Amino acid sequence: MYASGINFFQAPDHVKEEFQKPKDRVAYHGYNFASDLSHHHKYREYFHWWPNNPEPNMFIKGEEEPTYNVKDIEIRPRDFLRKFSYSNQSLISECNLLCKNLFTLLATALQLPDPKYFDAAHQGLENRLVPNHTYLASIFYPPLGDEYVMPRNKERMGVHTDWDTFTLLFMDPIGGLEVID
Amino acid sequence: MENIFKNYKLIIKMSETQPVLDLSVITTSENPPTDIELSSKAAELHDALSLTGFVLLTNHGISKESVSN
Repeated sequence: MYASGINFFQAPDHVKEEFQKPKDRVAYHGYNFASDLSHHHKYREYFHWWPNNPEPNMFIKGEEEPTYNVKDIEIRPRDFLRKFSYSNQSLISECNLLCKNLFTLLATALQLPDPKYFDAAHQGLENRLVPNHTYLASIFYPPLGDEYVMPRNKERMGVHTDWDTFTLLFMDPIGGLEVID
Repeated sequence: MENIFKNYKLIIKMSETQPVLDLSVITTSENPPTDIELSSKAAELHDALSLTGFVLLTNHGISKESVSN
């Protein structure tokens, strides 16, 4: 995710533009440009990934190039983007397995009568045909530049809460992530 | 990529409770976990999320290659 992601985010804007997430859709995968600096807390680029296929393992087993449904048309990633796609899709598959293990543990922890309660509630995890907001986000925070002065009492990506069942967080070697109980 | 996990530990150490959940009994064992093992892990998860609100997962089954590539 990191190496191929850096490669993608360094691509020129006109290339990244082809993979833009449709603005009128919330739960759709694709690329988002960073906002202008006046919204410094949103000054980040990201790519939202959905499982490539309703049968996610088909993608890892096969060598064929994946297709995408961005803006309801099929586009094919350029060669230098293939690694970005492959690594994120394999990460999604691995995360989904982890999610299922956590679903079982959560249902057990809450002593729910149905141990598969959370599995049933997250059928969209591996199937983009089920409307849902599950995605893998590859996020890039561009440098603000030496001349930029951060407004007082403001921070880059500030304190916030994700409103979902849970969030799996990965951090790059640069760090900066803080978790507070 | 080793640094990722070092950084996490640094941050978690700031917390008094240091919630860590080792999932090896689920992810690396050849046999599915027993009910007792599952209940034990579920109790750990319950405590971490209700007392602290987050948990550091270890032996989670996600390969370093997928994260770093």
